[in-house]
Amino acid sequence: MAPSKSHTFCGRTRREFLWQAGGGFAGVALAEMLGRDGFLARQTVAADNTTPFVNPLAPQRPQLMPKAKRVIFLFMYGGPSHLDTFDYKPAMENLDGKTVAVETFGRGGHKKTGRVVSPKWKFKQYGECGKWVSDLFPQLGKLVDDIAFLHTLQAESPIHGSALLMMNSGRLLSGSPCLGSWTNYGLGTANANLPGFVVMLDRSGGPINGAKNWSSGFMPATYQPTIVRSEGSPILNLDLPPGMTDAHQRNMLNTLQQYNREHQLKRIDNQDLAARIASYELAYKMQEHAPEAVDLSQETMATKKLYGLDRQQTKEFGRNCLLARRLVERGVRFVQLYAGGAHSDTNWDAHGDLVANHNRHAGRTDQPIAGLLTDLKQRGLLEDTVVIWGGEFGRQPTAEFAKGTGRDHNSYAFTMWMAGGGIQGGISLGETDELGAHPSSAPIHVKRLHATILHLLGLDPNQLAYFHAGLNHRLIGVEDTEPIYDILA
Amino acid sequence: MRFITTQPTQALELLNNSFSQKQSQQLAARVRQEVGDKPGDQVQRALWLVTQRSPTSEEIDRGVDLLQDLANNEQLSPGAAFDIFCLLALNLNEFIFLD
Repeated sequence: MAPSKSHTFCGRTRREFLWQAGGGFAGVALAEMLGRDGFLARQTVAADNTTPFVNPLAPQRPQLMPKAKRVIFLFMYGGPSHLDTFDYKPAMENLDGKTVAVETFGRGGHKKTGRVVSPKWKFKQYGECGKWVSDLFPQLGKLVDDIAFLHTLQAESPIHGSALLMMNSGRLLSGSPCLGSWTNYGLGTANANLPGFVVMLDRSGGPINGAKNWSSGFMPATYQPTIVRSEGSPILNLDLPPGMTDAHQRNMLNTLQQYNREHQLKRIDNQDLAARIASYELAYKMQEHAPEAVDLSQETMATKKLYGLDRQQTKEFGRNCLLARRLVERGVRFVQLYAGGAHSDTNWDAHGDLVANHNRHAGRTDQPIAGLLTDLKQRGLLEDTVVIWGGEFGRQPTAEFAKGTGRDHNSYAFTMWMAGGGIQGGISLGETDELGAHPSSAPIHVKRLHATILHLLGLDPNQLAYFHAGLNHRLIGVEDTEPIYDILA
Repeated sequence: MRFITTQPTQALELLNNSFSQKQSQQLAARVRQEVGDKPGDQVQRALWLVTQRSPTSEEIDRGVDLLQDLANNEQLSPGAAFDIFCLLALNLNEFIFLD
């Protein structure tokens, strides 16, 4: 509440007094922190009350030589089975139905034995590298010479919520910024007329914990993503209301921002206010530039077919992949697509009928993803776009229940792949044991994946830090972490 | 429980959506009925309603300036201009965020 100056002792509210006196030292640190990259300076108003708006997402120079300028993260929500997709285990074929000793840890808890469920699809070799890929991905199989497979990914939780948070933000607990926020923090965005970070969900719904997975955490809220809709109009309300012209609106916005900036001066610690001010400027620019960016009618029939937009099964995810290409082409820095949503068989979480589940989800995504890689390559974008594929964990070699093919979660070992943006194609790193239950070569912790992505973007994962609550936070955590040099071109 | 986010799509909604248009027109009509047609009175009343405090004279002047700008430079009728001010009022951070 703004004080009426004639009635308050010291000429300010109690809140202000406490803040300035008792909270003073913390306030100094906070102000220093916020001011460090010029953030505060860009938000406050000069004495003349007409300081022009400076974009907190303005592009910044990276620390190292970047190979990539943008990231597309294809998130296979629910945890695809590595054994049935890209981690070929021929030894399992003779063991189907047998009870073996193997340590697993899933939602069903720790187990020491289990009934083997052999892979339910045949595998074929593809490409010059001869990579074995299951029949779930015939289109992607053709592109293995552009892909680096990582077979010994390891995470710290076999439970969706915390595993999703770890894959997205490097921590099991919520409240930390996600990979997309770190990327925008480190690099800004290449096109100030569009968001720097976009998330698209599956039509069936979002993942467990929703927006916490793409949270900006303790960073300024301007590093949150914009959700682009998965059905119908990708972005709503881009048209001015009837009777309002651009000039009216711009005039109104200038005045609105003056009110907002004055309001903010007494609440400088509230990042949401600054983020909201910034969001209005971005919204203004999006009115002009976003309609074209998300207009798929501009694409040729050939392109639409490439992404599977002509088939019922693939058109939903295909549409999102095509939008992703258009957005990154126009400078959006980080796009994350979720394949699968809500619960159980609406995503890759195959606890029940493994065959039905993965047929469905691979069927929906194989063509679109292959189309995306092909299209990026044709347009010369793949060489500086990092594409990542994977979920929050993998699946177990043994059955979860007494009957059926359902596999429980496996965070001890799972497969992800990367392509483009400085990644060496046609290689595989890491091996799991005969059952794919545990790594038999060095495990690759999720934070190494994060380190690799930052490194490719020209950001040193061990240097990129954000000071908050007494700690210089890094995406990769408190221990120095190396990128996976073995897969860099 | 919905987690708080801040996005440009929210701004687009509050600026351009037909619901916002309707609400700002209703706010404007109410203020006109309560205080009449003088721009200063209208701005003061609109700000009072959305912030529940007396606006400063600076804040009132700022609103009146906008109304004059819209009338002079954009040839908007006083009614249409004040409708726009009410749209602004409903988009204020002070209205959206509680301390």
